[in-house]
Amino acid sequence: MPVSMSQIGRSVRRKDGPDKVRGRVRYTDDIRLPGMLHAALLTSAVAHARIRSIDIEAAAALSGVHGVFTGDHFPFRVGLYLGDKPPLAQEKVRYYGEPVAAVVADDERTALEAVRLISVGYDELPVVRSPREALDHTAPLIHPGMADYVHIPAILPEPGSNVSHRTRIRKGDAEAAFRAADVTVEGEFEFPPGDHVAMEPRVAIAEVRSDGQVVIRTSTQSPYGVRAIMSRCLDIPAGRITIIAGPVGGGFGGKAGIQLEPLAYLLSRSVGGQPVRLANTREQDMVTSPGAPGLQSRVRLAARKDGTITAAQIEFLFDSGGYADYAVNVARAAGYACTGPYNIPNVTADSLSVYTNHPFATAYRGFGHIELSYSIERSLDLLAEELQLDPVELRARNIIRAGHATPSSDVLDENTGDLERCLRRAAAAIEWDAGSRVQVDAHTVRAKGVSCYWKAPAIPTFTDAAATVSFNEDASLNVVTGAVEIGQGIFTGLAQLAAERLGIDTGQVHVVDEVITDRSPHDWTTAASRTLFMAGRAVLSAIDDAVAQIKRVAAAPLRCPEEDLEVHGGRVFIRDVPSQGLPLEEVVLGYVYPNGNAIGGPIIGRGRYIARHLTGIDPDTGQGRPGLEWTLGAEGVEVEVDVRDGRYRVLRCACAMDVGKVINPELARGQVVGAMAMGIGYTTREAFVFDSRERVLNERLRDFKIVRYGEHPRYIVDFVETPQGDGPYDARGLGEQGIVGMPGALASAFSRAVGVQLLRLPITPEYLWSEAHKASGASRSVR
Amino acid sequence: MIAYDVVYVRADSVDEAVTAWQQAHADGLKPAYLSGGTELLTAARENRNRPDVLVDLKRIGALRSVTESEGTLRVGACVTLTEVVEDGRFGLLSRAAGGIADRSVRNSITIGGNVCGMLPYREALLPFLVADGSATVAGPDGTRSETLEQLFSKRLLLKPGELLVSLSVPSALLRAACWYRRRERDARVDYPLLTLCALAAPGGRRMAVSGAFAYPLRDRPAEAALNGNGSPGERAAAFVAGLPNAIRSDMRAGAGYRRALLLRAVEDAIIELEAGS
Repeated sequence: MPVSMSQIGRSVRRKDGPDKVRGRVRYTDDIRLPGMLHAALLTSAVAHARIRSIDIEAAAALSGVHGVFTGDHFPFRVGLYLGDKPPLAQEKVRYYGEPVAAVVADDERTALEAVRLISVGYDELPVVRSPREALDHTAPLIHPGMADYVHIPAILPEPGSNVSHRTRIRKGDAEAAFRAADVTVEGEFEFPPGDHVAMEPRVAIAEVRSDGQVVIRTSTQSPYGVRAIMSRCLDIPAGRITIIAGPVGGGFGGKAGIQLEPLAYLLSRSVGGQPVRLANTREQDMVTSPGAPGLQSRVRLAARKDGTITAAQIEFLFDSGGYADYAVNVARAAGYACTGPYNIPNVTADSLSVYTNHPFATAYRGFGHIELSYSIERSLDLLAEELQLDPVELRARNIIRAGHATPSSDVLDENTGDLERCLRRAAAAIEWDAGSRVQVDAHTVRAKGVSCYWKAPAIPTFTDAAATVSFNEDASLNVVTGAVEIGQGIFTGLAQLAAERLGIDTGQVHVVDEVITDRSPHDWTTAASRTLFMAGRAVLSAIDDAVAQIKRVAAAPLRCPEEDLEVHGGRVFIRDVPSQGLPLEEVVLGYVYPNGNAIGGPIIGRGRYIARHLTGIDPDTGQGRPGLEWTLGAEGVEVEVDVRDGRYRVLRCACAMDVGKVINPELARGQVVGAMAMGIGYTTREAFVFDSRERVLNERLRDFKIVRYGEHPRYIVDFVETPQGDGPYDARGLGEQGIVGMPGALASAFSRAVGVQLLRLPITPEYLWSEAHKASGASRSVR
Repeated sequence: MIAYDVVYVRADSVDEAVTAWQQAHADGLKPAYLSGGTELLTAARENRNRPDVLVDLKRIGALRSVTESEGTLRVGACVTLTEVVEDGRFGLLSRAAGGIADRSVRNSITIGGNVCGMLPYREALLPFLVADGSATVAGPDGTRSETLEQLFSKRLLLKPGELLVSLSVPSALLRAACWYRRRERDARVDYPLLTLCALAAPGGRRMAVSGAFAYPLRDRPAEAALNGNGSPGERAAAFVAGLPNAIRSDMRAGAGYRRALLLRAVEDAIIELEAGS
């Protein structure tokens, strides 16, 4: 039946919703295979030490134990971009929680008991506590062997230091602009590393079949990345590796790249290939596996009296912890996006990924953009204060638009979103003009803050996606892609795109919800807010391919040229005589003439996409085109603070984002609300606390708090639609972006409430209280 | 997962529980009384505090009720915090119990577990401290009842093998004007930076504090300041200055912030109790 209503812009119910709310979805964590063995890890109790001895004798002797392994057993170094990390620590441990030994046993309980029987002798080494400390020439070298590490060309490690990567941006002449400036402001900002706290802890089940095929079921955003990295680092032909990725219980970047898979494989291989399940406990998921990077940053802005920003000098020091993982690329992305969505003609920036003795860092929703945004938005508030300008107007004056150039001198094209409209709408949603600071009573203040943000996917220049489409007897479709469901609702979005293209109901489109790398087509990674865009383009291309094939088959029985045919609403018909046509059921598996003759055969549509016009960036100047499509948006928040004790409530959070086109309003809103909620947690509490030896004190959820039901403010989500011409039905990415501006907006509001510019995170009641007390003595005000 | 074997003993009476504990102890094993189990289970998961024998008290009827007779309210040790909250006869206790953890966890935590368990704050005891409460304990030497003033110092002074049977307060104080406040680092479901229970008894105002310390504290000499002259702020300062114990500082908050919360709470309590009297 033809569907008159468009599938685009409709809140089609998400396909995985009913199973998820009933608790029926099977995540990788739920899988138990026959004959499966269980692994358990002994992790480091110290942050930096030479391993003097490991005694595994008693553990190995325990009944039910198949093997006990240490770093010596696995002489490999694995890394996403920079091969710096042994699967189990070799010679040294570099962070609290690093895996030191692994046990494989018949059951989980035996494995855990055996781990208790392993004893490790450590000679502790001096610890590196922060990126700035790591840059001091007297700091201990965390990776003295860095010169020997294999890395991709885009990553620029500096052997002999603790710098694993440096991105340099040199645009215009910042020095001259600073000399000519009417005003300059400078701020230093910082926050500690944290964790994603995804619902499903990371898990991988690896087996090596008798024919040598390596099969790994894993909770991953990046099945093809796992395959490629394992092939490269462990010397397995890529075709001998099969990765199976089902629905993931929350990714947030923490399951992109490579996680437990290499160690699970090595353990399976070491016990004869039986399936071995390596699953993180919650505590291991927080500290042993990577989390969010910390940051220390310094921003200087030069401006004219009217608020026009003329130059920026920026330094970002990303705390990558003991290993580089994704942090090197996070630093790179933060470098080429360093100014935030503002038109600044002269920019000098150095964005570094720096080793410390903290748990190591990987991608985290926003991918460096939260960090840069916080630094820039706080600096803009410093500038607004200095110039006595309204923070909204200061931002509006400097907003980036089509025709302006990014820090990497990439000129934004006609597809650029309308950020000023987003900013005005976000400000209106929190009633900015009604007063940005209101004294409710003697000790209660309501204050507001705004921020602008941008984010493009931080991806390789050749980032790809692909799709196949096949048909069932009822002419419904099976769509196979390499995209992973991580909670974002991608399969529903892809089904809507396919249905729209064919003029059918979304329910007629079945998106296969498991990625198996030997039968699903290649897809870079489900990350970077690019999956609806890229896998969407691939699906549309596959539909177009299938439609062409349908027309070819139908042309004969309909006795007309292919180009006269149209496929829509479940039929193929003559465009100008729609009554003459065939139902797709009679074509998609081959057409059968009344006498029994058949033509065609099952139709399989193939579609692919690869990013357009991207380049690397120059190692000395950062100039190039690294960003495919920039999603722009603005956020506004309102908080209420009791200045006597710093207790606060977040009252309203508004986000206005130019997404090109909204494909599914409810799913889009869900993504943005989730991102804003995560941003509240990121700003106010989700940070590791370290002791004096850099051991994590709050590695458990009773101590590491996330925002719970009952604490949420009113969320206001507003979309602006400036078409992204190359996006599927004009859409651009929106998955991460809602978090990016939250720390800046919240810090702005809190600063306004207590009368002091807050420069670090997390913003706790204690921090607010102590700053408010300082302020009451100094009588400053924050505009 | 709890990766070791335990012997589980379900006791039907206090005597049976005490005997089971003694037997295990005599066998060279490490016994523990099990009530709500929330702490024992989470600690066991992390391989901390591994008892060999768990003696479950939850099925002992005598420990499972709240009764009032002869001018005394008795709360059995295995009454859950949710049940205490809903019982409502001791309003201050309902409020203090209701501030601990979250609802689903309070369905398991018992008052005895909160008072005798591994976690330091023991907030459910605060109302009993300000209301001159007593505790009944049972052990190898039989059953005894003593005032908390005698039996409590940072923790219940139980002898090996003793278990808490009940906590009690004089009925006369159940309706006395009271005041309660709890403050956390940020999220409400968290350990307290401050919990304060105050009671306006006929003899004067009393206050017991936890969170600011890693244990409940009622300091009678310091309470003199609460009932003296001066503004509420001055009396609060004198009270806090009179507390002999150092204020806690940990990863959740520094001592300075805890002290500020405490000072404000004491002052607010004085003001509001006076306004109500």
